[in-house]
Amino acid sequence: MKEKKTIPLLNVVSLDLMLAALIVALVLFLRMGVPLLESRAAPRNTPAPTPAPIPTAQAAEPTGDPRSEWQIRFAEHFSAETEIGERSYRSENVSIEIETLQFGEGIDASVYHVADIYLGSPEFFQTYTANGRMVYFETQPVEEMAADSHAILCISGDFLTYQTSGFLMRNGEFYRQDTPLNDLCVLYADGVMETYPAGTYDAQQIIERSPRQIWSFGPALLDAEGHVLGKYNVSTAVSYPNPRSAVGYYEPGHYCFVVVDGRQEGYSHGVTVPELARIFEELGCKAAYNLDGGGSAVMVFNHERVSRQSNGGRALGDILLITEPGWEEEA
Amino acid sequence: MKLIRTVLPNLCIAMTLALVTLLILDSFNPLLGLLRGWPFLILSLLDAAAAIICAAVLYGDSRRS
Repeated sequence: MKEKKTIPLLNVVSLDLMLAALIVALVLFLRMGVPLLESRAAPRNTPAPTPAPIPTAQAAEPTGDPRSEWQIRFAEHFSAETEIGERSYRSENVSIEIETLQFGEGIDASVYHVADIYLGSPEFFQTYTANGRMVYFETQPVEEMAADSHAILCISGDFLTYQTSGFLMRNGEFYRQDTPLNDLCVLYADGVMETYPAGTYDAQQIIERSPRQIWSFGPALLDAEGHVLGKYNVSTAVSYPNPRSAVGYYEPGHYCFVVVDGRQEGYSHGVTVPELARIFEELGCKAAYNLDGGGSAVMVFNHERVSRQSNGGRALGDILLITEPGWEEEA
Repeated sequence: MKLIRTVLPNLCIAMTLALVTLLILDSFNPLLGLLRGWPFLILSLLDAAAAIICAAVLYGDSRRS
């Protein structure tokens, strides 16, 4: 009688594992590889961050004063002559003051950098993507991005080039209009910045209000009254103390960039999302939005790094930046 | 029927392992959107179908014995 041959159990387990790996590879290829190949075959240039008057920007009061409403309102922060310090910048249109502070004490202490920003007009707040184009998984070192975009000040964005879905806009141009699972942050042409919890916004209403930038990362950090939230829309894996990058809003024309150093024992521990929210609450922001942190979190001012990235940091997909024409000639 | 009994359980195991792997990868970087879109949906549906068929065959066997 012929003996029935059975495959050894180890071989069966190995075959199952190999098949599982093959299935994962196939899903990854379909989800990421195909968009990557398509975008590399036909790269899409992103709008250059060239400050130009935005049509819906508020016009100056009809008083004979040539200055814009923001220049008048924040006049004490601007300067007729361009003044560039180690951690400050003042001109007719842009005012930046950078402060380095500490959050927490002892081994949990974290160093964070706050850039307080006043603008004379909305067009000086721009974004830039890696190499000036939208190609999936494309990245560029932050110093190169700052140089290419002529950024006076910049921080890491929402890693636009890694996003295969979302509601995304850069410098007035839409990239995607999918419904994201993340909270949104929208900077409108009139300088108002608002955050929206996932699933609570009306895309058409946002579009009708002339957005300029739409970020899809999050979470939003503050409620409508500018207080910390009870719960945040964030995955468990990134909710531990980490380096962080975030943007804050006080009123049209007044913003802040915050970058928290972290993962550096003895220097800066990093903060959780609720702790980051508390930083913005203490700053007095009306809205605040978390951007890509971890190895991406970085702040660059006048082409030099202000923050200290863990492990030297990583190349980025996109940045938020403040710029004005011709500032580098004044430096 | 012999083929179903031999192949389908292994296929079910492999697809479930793949689903778990994707869930773990997504928890580390939700930006990649691995759980969104049709590849994950089709994998989930196929795994569910394979699991139901395996269970039905197993149930039928247990009733016969």
